[in-house]
Formats: sequence, C-alpha cells, structure tokens
Amino acid sequence: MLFEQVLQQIINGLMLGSIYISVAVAFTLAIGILNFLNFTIPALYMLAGMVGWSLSQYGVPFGLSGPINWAFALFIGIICAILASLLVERFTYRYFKMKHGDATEHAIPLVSSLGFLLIFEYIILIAHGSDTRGFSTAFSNLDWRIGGFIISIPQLLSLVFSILLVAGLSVLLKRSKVGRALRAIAENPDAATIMGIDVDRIVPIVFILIGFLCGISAAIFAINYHEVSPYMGDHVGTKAIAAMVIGGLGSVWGAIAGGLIVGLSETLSIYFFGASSAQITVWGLLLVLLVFRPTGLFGHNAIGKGKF
Amino acid sequence: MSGYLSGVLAILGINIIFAYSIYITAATGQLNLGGAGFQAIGAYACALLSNELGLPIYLTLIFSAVLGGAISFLIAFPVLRTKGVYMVLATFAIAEIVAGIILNSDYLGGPTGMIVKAYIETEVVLVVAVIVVFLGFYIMSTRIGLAMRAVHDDEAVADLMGVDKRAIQVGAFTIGGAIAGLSGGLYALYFGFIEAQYFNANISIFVLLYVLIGGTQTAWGPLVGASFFTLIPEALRIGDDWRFFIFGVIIVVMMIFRPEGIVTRDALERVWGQLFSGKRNV
Amino acid sequence: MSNPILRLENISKSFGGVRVLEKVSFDVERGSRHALIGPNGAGKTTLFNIISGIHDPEKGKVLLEGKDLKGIPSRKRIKRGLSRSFQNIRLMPHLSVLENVMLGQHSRFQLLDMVKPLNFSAKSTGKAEAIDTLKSFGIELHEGQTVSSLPYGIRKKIEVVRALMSEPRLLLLDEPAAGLNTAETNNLRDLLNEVSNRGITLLLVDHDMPFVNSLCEQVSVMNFGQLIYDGPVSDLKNDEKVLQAYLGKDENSERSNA
Repeated sequence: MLFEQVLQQIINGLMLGSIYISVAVAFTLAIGILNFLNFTIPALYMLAGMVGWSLSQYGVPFGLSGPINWAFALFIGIICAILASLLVERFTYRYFKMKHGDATEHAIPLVSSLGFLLIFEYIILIAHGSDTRGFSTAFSNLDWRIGGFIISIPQLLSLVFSILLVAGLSVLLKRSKVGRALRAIAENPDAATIMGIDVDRIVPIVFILIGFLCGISAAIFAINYHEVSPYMGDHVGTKAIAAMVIGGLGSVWGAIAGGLIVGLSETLSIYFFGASSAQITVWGLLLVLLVFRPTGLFGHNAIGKGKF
Repeated sequence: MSGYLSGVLAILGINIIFAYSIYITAATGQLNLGGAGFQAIGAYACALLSNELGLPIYLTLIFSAVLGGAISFLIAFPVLRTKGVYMVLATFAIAEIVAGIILNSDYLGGPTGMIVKAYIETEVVLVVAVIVVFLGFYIMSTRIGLAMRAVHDDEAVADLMGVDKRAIQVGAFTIGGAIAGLSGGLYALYFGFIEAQYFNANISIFVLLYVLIGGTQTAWGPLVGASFFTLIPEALRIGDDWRFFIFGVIIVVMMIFRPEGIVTRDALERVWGQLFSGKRNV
Repeated sequence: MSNPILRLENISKSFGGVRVLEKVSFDVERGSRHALIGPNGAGKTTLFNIISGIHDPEKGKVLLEGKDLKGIPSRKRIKRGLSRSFQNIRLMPHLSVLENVMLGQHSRFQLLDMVKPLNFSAKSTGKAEAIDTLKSFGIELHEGQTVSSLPYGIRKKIEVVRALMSEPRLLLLDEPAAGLNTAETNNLRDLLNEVSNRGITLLLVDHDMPFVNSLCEQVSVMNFGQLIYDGPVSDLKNDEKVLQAYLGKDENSERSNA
C-alpha cells in the first residue's frame, strides 16, 4: 500500500516537474549563453498565463473583440511573453557594457531584469488585481488509470511535450548554424564577433527562445491545473532556478533532469514531511550543491563551460 | 507627531538600517540576495527573548544583532567560496531555508506568525538608525574601509598589497548579518507581529535594489537609496501597486543611464567642490 | 655573490601539460638593476607570478634574502620586502589616486591603526606620507583626483609609487615602459634611477632595449621557458644564443657563411 502511494507521488512529482523544465531551460540559456541571471523570466511565464486568461475571459481590451477561444488566447499569451522578452533584450541587455568587471558591475543586467519583473508583475496586478483566476480549457479530467495509479493524460502529454521540445532545442544548439553561433557567443562574445558572427542579430534569438519557453510552460500549467494568478511566476521561478542549479548552469539536459528532480523532491517532501518542508529540502540541497559542486549534475556539458 | 508620520519614519529607519547591512557586503564586492533571512533571524530571536524571557528591549536588540552576526559568520566560510552568480544564488538559498525552517516550526508560530509582546516607539528606531548610519560612514572612512573597497575593485591586486581578503570578506559578511538582524529585531518590536511570509524574496530583492540604486561607491548610497524609495512614494501619495510599477521603471532607466547608482564618488566630489568653492589642493 | 636578495633555483612550471618554465636559475644582487628580457611567451610574467606567490612552482625554490618562500601565501610576501607593478596598469578604478597609493601602505599598518578615520589624522594614517611621496616624484594632484582622468604615462608612474609605499627592498616591474613615448620613458628612467639610489633592488621585465640598456647593469634572458643568458648588459649583444633567439637561426647561419 505504502509503496503504491509513494509511486503515485513519484508520478505526480514527475508531472509537476514538467512545468519546471521549460522555465529552467529558459534560465539556463540566459546564463549559459549570455552570462545573464534573468529574473524577468518568472514574469514572462506569468504574462503568458494571465494574458491568455484575460483574452479568453474578456477578449481584446477596449472592447475590440469578444472572449477568445482558450487555445488561441494562450497562443497570443505566448506571443506576448516573447515580445516582453525582446523588450528586456532591448533595454537591459543591449545597453550593458562591462567596464571594470567587478562584482557590482556584473549585477547590472540582473538588477535591470528585476526592474522589468516589477514592471510586468505590477501592470498585471493593477489591471486584474491579485486573485487567482480559474481558467477552463477543453481538457478537464482525462485520467488514465492503470493498476491503481492515476496518471493525468494532459500532464503526461505535457511532460512528453516538454521533453521533446527541449530535446529539439538541444539538437538545434548542437547541429544548426544558429546553434553553433550561439555556442560561440557563449564561449567568448568578442571572439564570436571577430569570427564574423553578427552578435546583435543572434542574441535576440535567445530572448525569443526564452519568451517562447516561458509561454509554453504557462500554457501547459493553465491546461493542467485550470488556474492562473499574478503570483504564478513567483511559485515557478524559484523552483526553476533550483532546477537549473541542480542540473548545472548552462546545461539544457541538466535543466530537464533538474526540473524533474525538483518536482520529485517537492512532491515527496510534502507527502512525507508536510507542506512547508519542501522549501527546506530543495533549497538545502541547492546550497550544498552551490558550495561543493557548483557545476551541478551536468555542468561539464554546459554551453559556454568554464566561464564561471 | 501624527501616527501616520511616525509610522513612515519608523519604516524609513528600519529600511535604512537594513540597507546598510547589504551595503557593507556590497561595498566589498559581494552581493547578498538573502537579506530577508538574516532579518528574520533577528526578528524571531528578539521576539522569543522578549516573550519567553521578558528581557529588556536593549538586550533583545543586542542579541538579535549578535545572533544575526554569528550565523552569518558560520555561513560565511562556505558561501564565500562561491563567486558571482553562484554567490547570489547561495545567499538567496539561505534566505529560503531560513523562511522554510520558520514555516515548519510550530514553536516559532509556523505560518500563523508570532505576536511580540514588548514594543518600542519610533524614536528608538530612529536613534538606532542614526547610530548605524554613523557606523557605516565611520567604517568606510578607515583603512579597513579602504581595504574593503580594494577587495571590491580588484581582489588579486588587493591580496598582493597584503590585504587579507578572506578576513575582510568574512568580516563584512558578519557585520552585514549583524546589522540585518538588528533591523529585524526593531521590526519585530515596532510592529508587534512577525510571520515567515513577510521575510520573503521580495524583501531581499528590494533592499538590494535600494543599495544598488543608491550607489555602492560611498556610504551615502544606502541612505539615499532607502530614503528615496521609502519617502518619495509617500510624499507623492502613490498607491501600493503603482509605487512598485514606477520603482521598476526607475530601475530599468537607472541601469541604462546611471548604473553606478545615484551617489557616485565623482558626483560627491563635484558637490563638495561646489559647497566649498574651489578644489582642495593637495 | 654570496648573498643575493633574490635567488631562483631550478624553477620549473607547467600549465595544462605545456611546459612554461624549465629549470630557471639566476641570482639578483642586492642593490642592482636587473633586467629580465626575452621574446613574448618566454615565461617572464609567469616567473614574476611565481615570485609574487600567485602560482607555486612545480619544482625549484624561490629564496628571498636567503629564506625559502615556499608555503608563504602571496599576501604575506609584501611584508618580506617584495613589491611589484603590473603589465596592464592595475589601479583600482573606484579609488581615488591618493587612495590607490595609500593602499600600497596597507602591509605596514597594524589592525589598531587601521580603525582610524583616514581624513582626520593625516600623519598617523599614512596620508601625509603618501601625499609627500607623490610630490617628491613630481605628481601634484587635488584630493579626490580620479584615476581615469589622468594620462597613461602618469598612471604608470602612480603604479610604481604605489609599489614603493610598502617600503620594499626588491621591486618587480612588469613592462614599466610599455606604451610610453620618449619623454615619458625618460621620465620613468629618472624615477627608477632615484628609486635605485634609495637602495631598492630593481628587477624589471621590458622589451624596450635602449631603455633596458640605459638603466640596468645585469640582465637575464629567457626563451621558451629557459634561461639562455645571465650576465652583464654590456656583453649581451655578442652572445650567440641571444642573437639566435631574437633574430632566428637563418640570419645567424648567413653571417657565419658570409
């Protein structure tokens, strides 16, 4: 009996992890390729979810249309996340020029991304208030029951989809011309420019990917959990950062592993020790990793390795 | 003094003290994104001591500083082995762990929080704030402050000049933790109620932003940053949500046009120059 | 020479499988002006870094005033009379010029003196001394002068002054004349002459041969991590190995065939 319950929790944990995967990959791309701890990412995730909800509930602002079909609404939400991400690129990253290389200088893009986090979060709070909102989509209780276990079909599909998406991204990075350019920039931006890579046109691609990953993740969350809130970014953000660290900064496959591990530890921790213990477990693990094995599980495979 | 003004000044005092705790470490080149954790330690220590043991206020405040400092000291050695983004994440992790421990502990009130029986008036907060500001200016005006700024600018060269960078970094981290603990104790005593949910990531982020926007080059930075972000919204009667939205815009704009912060050494030199008309020749 | 201020014995060092220094040994005599020259990549800066304590040698010893420096961390070497300047000027960007120079005095201060406010007790905090030293080298500036506003040549000078503030007995200078024009180079030579006259031993790396010739009496030449010449500057131009290293084999065989 206990074994079956634990197994169910493990299944739940993996499903939960699928939400974290894409956001973790977004973080890891920003760090690995651009050396940028991008704190706007949780807000991009939240934007996609809240905009999607708002469109499906009210339609386009200023009465330009009626409520929009949920799938299309989420699609536009993803577009919004991408556009917001490009705003960050334009006003945060592009202006940054390292002069002295000391610690507070390194923090400038980070601080700016915090500014954007506030901007996006509070725009939504001002527009919609702080309540959690129900978001109904077509998939409601499609469960698959095998031998006493419950696996939610949408969640399973989401997990598979997330992994495929990120695997595809990984292949893109390794095989395609753009991917090679991105890896060159990750290793050494100045050398990349000298080699003829148009850094100013390639870097926005990273931000587009980041926006896309956050948007997709929010869509998956909305479809599986039927709710969105202005604080959904906060909940996922810290877990995704944890997943990134566990997997190793800059490692895409590490982010996948990290996301699943975080989902698992969170679920099992809550099951065995109660609701608040998850925080201690996950962050305790993280701290230990940061101090003793900062490269994480897959850090040796990271994009732009050896930079830290 | 009206109750409203009194409240604003108390918050200002606590924010200023908290800002100096982060400034001390930032001036040495370390970014602490876990300030809320040390503030929480001080707040709960203070609350427990005054509730359970009925200790007088000045004693509980001293103890919240000491505990904040002691735990910082213990954590300093492993944390200072990390660098750059790793250190930011490690300090962040510490704050999350502290909040998690409090949430999990029924003795500490868990999610329901804890009531603090003793109380202090705004005057106490302001007096302590003045002392901390003086302390901040004093440290930075000494050779130790010079060594701290050297470690910030170029660790390797500072080391070759004979500066014990490990000692400076641990020392700064410890003093920072102590001051943060002190701000937590004052918070607990003034507001009479504390809960883990208050000492969250946002608090850590905001105080770091006060310091970085104020400027880390001089001891004026945290004073200006904390005051600016506490008082301006009140003065302009800006509501809560708009306040943070504008805060966000200011941050983005500042990082584009003046990333080194409001108060820089150059700016200070020019102000001094104008005040004392003409350069002081050496 | 039985009591050199610096003795390097068989220093060897590799980085990642590449041998950078191979059994380098030479002495630096107390009070001398000793040059260390060689083509780029010869290992000169690595040698400086080993003497400073930034890296440990794989094999060999560094003896400063007869004492083995093994195990002495880099920050303690300045107290033993060793000081240095850097190839790329490394003045602290957010400290004023005066503060940069005062940083050089750090090793001479005890903890108790370090808690005095620098602006109030100029004499006992070393501020007065720093100001006077700068003046004596012809640098007059206003309080709070920033590093970035000064020309390159003056910044190089300030780095040397900073290195002098610890009252060193041996001063390592890494390409002090690099990037200076003729007037600035002469200025620097005068400064270093004065430093030498105060009894401080100079060991400098540089590529400017006329500068080296006019300032130093002794020279050690390195190539591919090995020492190929160690002796008076005057005999340098006749040494076969040195000519080969700088001019290449072909030229040399041309001369012998002619």
